[in-house]
Amino acid sequence: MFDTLMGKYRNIVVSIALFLLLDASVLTLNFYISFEIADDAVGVNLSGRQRMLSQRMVKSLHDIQYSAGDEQARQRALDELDLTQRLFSSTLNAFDQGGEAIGADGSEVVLEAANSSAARLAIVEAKEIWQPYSTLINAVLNADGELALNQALMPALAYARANNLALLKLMNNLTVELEHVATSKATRLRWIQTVGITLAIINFLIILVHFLGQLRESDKQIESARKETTEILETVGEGLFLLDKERIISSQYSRALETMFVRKELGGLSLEALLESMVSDKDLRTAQRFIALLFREDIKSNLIGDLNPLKEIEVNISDNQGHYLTKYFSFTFERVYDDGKIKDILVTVVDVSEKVRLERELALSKEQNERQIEVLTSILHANPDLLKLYLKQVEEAADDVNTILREPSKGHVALKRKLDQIFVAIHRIKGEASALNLESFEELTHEFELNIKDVHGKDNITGDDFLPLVVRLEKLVKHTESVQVLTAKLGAFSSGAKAPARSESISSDWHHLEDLLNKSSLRCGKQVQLFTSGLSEVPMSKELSGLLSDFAIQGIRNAVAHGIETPSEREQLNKDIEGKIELRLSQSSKGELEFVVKDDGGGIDIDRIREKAAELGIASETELESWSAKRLTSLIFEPGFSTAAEHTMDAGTGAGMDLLRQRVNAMRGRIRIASRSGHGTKISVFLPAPAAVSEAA
Amino acid sequence: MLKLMIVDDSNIIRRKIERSADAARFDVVGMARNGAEAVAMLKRTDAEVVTMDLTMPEMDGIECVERITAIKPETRILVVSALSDVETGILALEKGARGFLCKPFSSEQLNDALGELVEGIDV
Repeated sequence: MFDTLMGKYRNIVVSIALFLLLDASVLTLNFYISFEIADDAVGVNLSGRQRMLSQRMVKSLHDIQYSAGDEQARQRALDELDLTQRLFSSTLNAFDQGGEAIGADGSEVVLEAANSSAARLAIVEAKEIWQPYSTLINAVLNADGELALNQALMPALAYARANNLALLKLMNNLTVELEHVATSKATRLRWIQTVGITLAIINFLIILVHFLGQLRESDKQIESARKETTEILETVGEGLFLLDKERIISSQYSRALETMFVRKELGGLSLEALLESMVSDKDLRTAQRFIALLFREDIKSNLIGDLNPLKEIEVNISDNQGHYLTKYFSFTFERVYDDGKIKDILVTVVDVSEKVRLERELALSKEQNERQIEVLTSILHANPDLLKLYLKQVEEAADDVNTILREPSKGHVALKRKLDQIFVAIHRIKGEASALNLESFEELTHEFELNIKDVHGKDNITGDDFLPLVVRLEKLVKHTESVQVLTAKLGAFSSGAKAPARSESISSDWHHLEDLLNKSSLRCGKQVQLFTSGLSEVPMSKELSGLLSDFAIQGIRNAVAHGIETPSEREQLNKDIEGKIELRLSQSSKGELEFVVKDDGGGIDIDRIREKAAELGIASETELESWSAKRLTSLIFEPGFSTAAEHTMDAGTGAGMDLLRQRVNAMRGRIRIASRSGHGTKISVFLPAPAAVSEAA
Repeated sequence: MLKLMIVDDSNIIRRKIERSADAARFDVVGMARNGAEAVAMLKRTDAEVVTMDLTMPEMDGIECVERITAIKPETRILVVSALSDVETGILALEKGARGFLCKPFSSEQLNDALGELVEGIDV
């Protein structure tokens, strides 16, 4: 970070450092020179004092001369002379060699030796004059007695008169020279200061220009970035905005957002305030919790996209005219990081109404297509003869039901009997639809059955309760007619595929049982395999094959719905996950047919039959306790008896077995049931020789 | 290798995850059929990564996530559940899970999710 900072601001940092260095050196020089100047001022002052001292020495010599008789005045003059000559001498020495001298205020000062040539010259000449002068003065000061004093005074006075002026001039020269030195130093100082300040100003101007330039450049960049952002936000088609931790919308957002939500000034608004009254409270709360998760650093944002409750949300927006519009918006959330931390969430809102609408239309048309294809394929797959026969049977059944519905009857019991009759008719065509793989008929009849059951379960049935059944019947008839139309249109196909002749093997018709098995087992969540044997070896009439087929259908449905366990149950029981159903047709030497439907499921649940029998009130619980398993099993053939826990398309309506028994009885046949708990069920139908059947039919 | 524990009441899903998880990165140290088993197994195996079903008998996924997070907060839990209830999924994450994978999933989706989940763990 320091490097980048240095890189970006290096010029400014260098400039400022230079500025400081310049300032510091000017100040140091200033400081140094000003000290020198102060020293020089002392020198100027002291050299000025030398002029005064030379005068005073002359004056003191005269004072001594004129003080004869006045001992006091003489002594004062002598003292004065002594002081001045010592002061002059020491100061002159200090100027010559440098050293201590007495300052104007009596304190000691240190003088630098004067070194300019003019000053040196003045000092040397002054010293030449001073040397003998000082000796003469010392003789005066050291004279003992009046005579000696007078003798010493005369030559001193004479020397003073002769040389004082020259000395005074030399001292004056020294003063002027020292003053000159000091002045030139002051001038130099001024120059240095001027140059320093000028350089500093230039430096400052460079910094200023440079800095302002950079500032302007970065401002320009920021401005253009801002402009770009604004342009993007103005033109982008999606609603874009940032959300902070408090779910407040950022001040900058895309124009499209306002258009989408038919609302202005969204910046600073909370997401809740934006969405309230548009989406349900529950969705809003879920969204809040979801966004809170996005702000959690420990959660991987890529791993929670599926939990976004606003992925495709229905919103109700009121437009400017106060009309409510229903739209579908898709919100996506992206984390925005700053310095490695989650700072905001970038929200993108896209109006997906059109997409949702198209998807729904597509799904609807797909469903319709599927239905049509289903009808078509079921027709194509079905044996044309069987289909025609079936359609005829449906028509007949519909007529029957219609007749039953029209019959006037009164009272709960009579109406209930009516219901039972309708149920038997519908259940039969349902079973056949399932066997022929006619899903559309299977569904219609199944719904019909459910409807009948609903009415059946009512405490007090009235004529009005039959109205929905009339509607159901209408639907069934309509569907039958449309299939008949389709079959007619496909006449070419059916004429091409000639129906098999009577008494041919029925093997080609058994594949519908596989289909039935697959569908039933899929619905019940079971895995079952079908094994057949001998089915194509016995020639038989269409009626007989119809019966056996119906029997097989009923057997398979019962086995899948009740007998065979779920794969996990079978696994726990150490059985193969896949259950087995076996269909076997054989003929004895006497010509008697034996048709067996066998499964390896759990066997018939006798306890469950007993419970059900008790529920239905067939006998009291204590009576039922004493019933044999065989007797209880035979209840399966009682009309309306069912053991399934719930009514599904595969089981739960007891009418099937009841009808089969009637048909077998009509052919003078018999049914035998064998069951072992945990091992399976075997249902056998014994029928007289086919020829005999034909005679009987 | 990261120690992976699989928690799901369905045998099929457990096996699918076990088979799908990249064997070079994950060592399946245990498979639990419900929350209670998972909590016991966590203590025994010291698993670092957990795939968690939400609807299970005895102890459901939410409670299990809570327990595991209380015992070992650094455990990385990936909820693997059907999308029938978004709110339960969110609740699991609020209780300490780190990610959500929607059932049904492909082996690739599972491995992508696991990779994302364990990002940042030192092996």
